Amino acid sequence: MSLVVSHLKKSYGKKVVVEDLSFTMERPGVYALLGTNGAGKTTSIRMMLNMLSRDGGEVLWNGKPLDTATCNVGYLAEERGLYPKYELMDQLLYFAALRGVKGAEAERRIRDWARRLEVEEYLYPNAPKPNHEAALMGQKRRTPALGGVKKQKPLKADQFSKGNQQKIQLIAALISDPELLILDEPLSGLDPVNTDLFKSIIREEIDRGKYLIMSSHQMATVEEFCTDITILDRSKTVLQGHLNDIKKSRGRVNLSLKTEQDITGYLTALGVELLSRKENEYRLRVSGEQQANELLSALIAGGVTIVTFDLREPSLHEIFVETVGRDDNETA
Amino acid sequence: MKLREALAGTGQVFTFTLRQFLRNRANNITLAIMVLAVLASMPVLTYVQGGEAQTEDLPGAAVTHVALDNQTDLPLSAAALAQDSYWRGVTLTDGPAAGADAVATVTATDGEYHITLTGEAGEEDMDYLRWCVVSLVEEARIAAAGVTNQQLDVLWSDYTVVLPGLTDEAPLPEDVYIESDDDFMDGFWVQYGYAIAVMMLCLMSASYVIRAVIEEKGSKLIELLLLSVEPLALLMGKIFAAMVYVLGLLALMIAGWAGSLVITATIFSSGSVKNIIDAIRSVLPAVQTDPAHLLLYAVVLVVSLLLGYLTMSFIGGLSGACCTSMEEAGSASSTVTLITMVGYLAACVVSAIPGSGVAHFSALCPVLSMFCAPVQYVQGNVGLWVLLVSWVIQAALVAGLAWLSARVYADLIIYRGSRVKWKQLFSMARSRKEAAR
Repeated sequence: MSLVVSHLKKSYGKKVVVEDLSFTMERPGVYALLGTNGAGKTTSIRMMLNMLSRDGGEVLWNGKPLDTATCNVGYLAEERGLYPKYELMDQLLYFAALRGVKGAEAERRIRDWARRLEVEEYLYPNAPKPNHEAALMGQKRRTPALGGVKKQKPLKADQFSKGNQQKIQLIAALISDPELLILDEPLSGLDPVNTDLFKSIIREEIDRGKYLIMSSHQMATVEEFCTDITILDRSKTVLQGHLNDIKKSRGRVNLSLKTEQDITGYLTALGVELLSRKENEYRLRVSGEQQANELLSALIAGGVTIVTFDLREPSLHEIFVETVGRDDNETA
Repeated sequence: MKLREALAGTGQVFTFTLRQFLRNRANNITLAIMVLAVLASMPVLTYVQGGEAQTEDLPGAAVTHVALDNQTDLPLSAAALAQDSYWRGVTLTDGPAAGADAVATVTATDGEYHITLTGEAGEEDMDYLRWCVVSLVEEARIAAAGVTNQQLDVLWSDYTVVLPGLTDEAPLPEDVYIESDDDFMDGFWVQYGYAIAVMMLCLMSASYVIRAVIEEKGSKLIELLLLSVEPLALLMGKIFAAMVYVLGLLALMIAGWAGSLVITATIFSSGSVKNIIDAIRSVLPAVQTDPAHLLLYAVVLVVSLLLGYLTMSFIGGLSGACCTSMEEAGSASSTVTLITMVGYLAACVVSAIPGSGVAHFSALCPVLSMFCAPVQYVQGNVGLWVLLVSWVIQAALVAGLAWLSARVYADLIIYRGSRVKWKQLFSMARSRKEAAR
């Protein structure tokens, strides 16, 4: 299986919003679509999924134009919502039916995902709780048939927290067990616990050999999962390729250093760029491994006590900022 | 893109939307209020117009025993008088009953029928009995001659005679029929009633479609839905759901109205209900025709209402998609309201203007034809082919709106920002490149 996006173009009047976007996914994994706000990421995704008309280009899945007939696609949109006044279960069954999953199978999958995403108690408010759970709550288990427990009305979306609504949307995206999963800002607005929960789901999908396209401003998260990236800036592709190759090409130029003494004299003498300093903790940029070694030798020779010496490749965050030429406010 | 692909998923959208309409508490409360209002309408109207409550004071006979002595071959029976509430509580017997307060004797000599009333009954009872027996004899004579109601309609139908040189001032020859004010008013009421029905259907259904579209747009769910459903299917599902819901409402209203008649009959004298039904029959010529015509009129009604409904629903759907929030629903509805009201008022005006040219214009002009074409056809002002041409024009308008929706609906429902004007909408449709999808 492969996904080929070639020469996607889109403009509104004279304003070009996506200019010649191309990339390929030859194997399962995560492809990151990155960019500043308004760079054209969401527009590109919408064009890939035929939600927006294209001015040019094509998207192929196994050599055929990508659509729901040729590929089972799941999509978690950046702009997320639910029908606020409708019951959640109704909505999930509707989304499942639209994806071709109906009846008992739809209910089974919803139940599975509800359990995994820890929203079962909201979707099934009247389901009997396991005995041990009731015991933990310090209550004797009572069923509605025995009286005393008032039957709860099914919840509507506007009674749900934002994080739980996001879980429902993720269920909707995964309900058809998609081959290709597109996640647009999947972790935005989640608390750390739910972030970890979502990450574990994403990791499982990767392990199951799924193709994922992820768009996010949280570079650390993207770096955790993705193998290939495209960075868009003002509608243009400014950087593209395998993340490790990109990092290697930049070399090990980031040096984090912590010492017992002030070393600014050494830095000036060797021409090392000081990025930031907090007391005797330094973030430095060196020209390469040779300059780093020269600095280390000079510090040892000068009797400086070194606490940490960490030479590494640039992070995705640093690559991103360097590439687009300015620090985006929302990058993490 | 093939139409079948464009409409895939319509069924799911329809089912979901209809279910939500039915579960909506506000909808259910509105429905209950409307049904109650309809149930109360006829009794209240009858009371206001002077219908008296059914009490012991209702007009009735003072006598206790009336006999009908039929000495002819006609099938006459005193039991037929029991259908008239005037004779309630009165013993009705056949033959020359000796103890009867009033006896009506019917005889025949040389082909002529004679009715003789004898007895001690008062003048009012005697007079009413005479009137009743004359009616019975007339009906029996006509039935005995083998004349059907349809033949009677033909015999008693109106006709006109056009004489050259006849001026307004010239005296009219005897028996020349001139359309009376009553006939004109009958036509007006038919048009007026139908226009109100179309107006209600259009406004109610469009408002449901607009609300459903804006609600969906506001929910920010649209991208998830567009992954699985084409935009046209998304809109059509809502349009069909609103149609079924509104037609269900109308059916309930009709049932409520029938119930209202029953309540009226229970509370008031049966004469009041009869008066209402007579009034309805007098303004609905279709009721008085044969089943074949009734079926034809039903088909005309259904097709015409469907075309009108689809036209206004597509306009409503597009108007709704032009808005971003529920606060703008009012301005979206105003487009539909404006078009509907213009059509409705024009239809009322047209019905007051006689002439074949006006009838044809009103039956063919888009929007106006929604209100006028079926009425003009039923009233015989335009032929069947004019009605068919009118339907073709209306269907073309619906197809045009569907085409427009298919081109711009996806972009509109994703769009966020100030309300899109209709001018912008058309330019969107023009600029959209077909190769894109």
